[in-house]
Amino acid sequence: MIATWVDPLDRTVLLYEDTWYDHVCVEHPNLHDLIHLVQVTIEHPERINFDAAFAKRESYYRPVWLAKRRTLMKVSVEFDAPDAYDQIVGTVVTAYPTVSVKQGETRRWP
Amino acid sequence: MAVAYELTDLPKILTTALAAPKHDRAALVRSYDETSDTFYAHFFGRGFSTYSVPVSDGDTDPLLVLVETDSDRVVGMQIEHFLRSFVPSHPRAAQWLAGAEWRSASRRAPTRPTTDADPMQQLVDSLSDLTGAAD
Repeated sequence: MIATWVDPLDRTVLLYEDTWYDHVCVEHPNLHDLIHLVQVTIEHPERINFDAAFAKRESYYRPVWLAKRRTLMKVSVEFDAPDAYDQIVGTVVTAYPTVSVKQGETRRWP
Repeated sequence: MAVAYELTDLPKILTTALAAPKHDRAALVRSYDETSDTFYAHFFGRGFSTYSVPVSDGDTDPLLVLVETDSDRVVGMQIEHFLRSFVPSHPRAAQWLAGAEWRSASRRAPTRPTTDADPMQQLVDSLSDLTGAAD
């Protein structure tokens, strides 16, 4: 694991090495040095949506500057059921810059 | 910056990709990430600085195109919910996985293409399902 963050709903979100280095940085190489954009999107999202297809997955969005362009960072997180201590933990499954919220998602927060 | 594409824009986008010289088309990289259920096709290889622009069919965004930040040129595509939603709706898309790099949820082992067919042509032909173009 390379990072642990807490989202506005007080849920812990984990980012694993293979997701970051073998997936995100490979498919979206311009994010290689910008892990802080993932962090700020998880910790201070503009909105969180329920994923359009996966019940346990949620999408975090936040406007960011990327290569001098204002764009929208999207981070998809998959959550496990609450553990024995009622803690909810999620894992980042992908992240990429985009221009708009995906159609078909429904608002989760705020 | 491109804000959005419609599905009707897709034939033009793919025609541009196919118009690239053969040696550029050979750089096509396809990959599938099992954890996120995302399929990628990088038309001219990886390494471009990109952002993802949804392609709308009106109600949903069945795919996104990868747009190069410097040139606004489409250099690839990205399909979320690939096995969950896209392939059931467009079964021919399943063949794109043949020879694609496959990163499994447990272990990420890249594979090599196993076909002599032009993978770019194969991709474009299959997308006719989406665009409504004749086979």
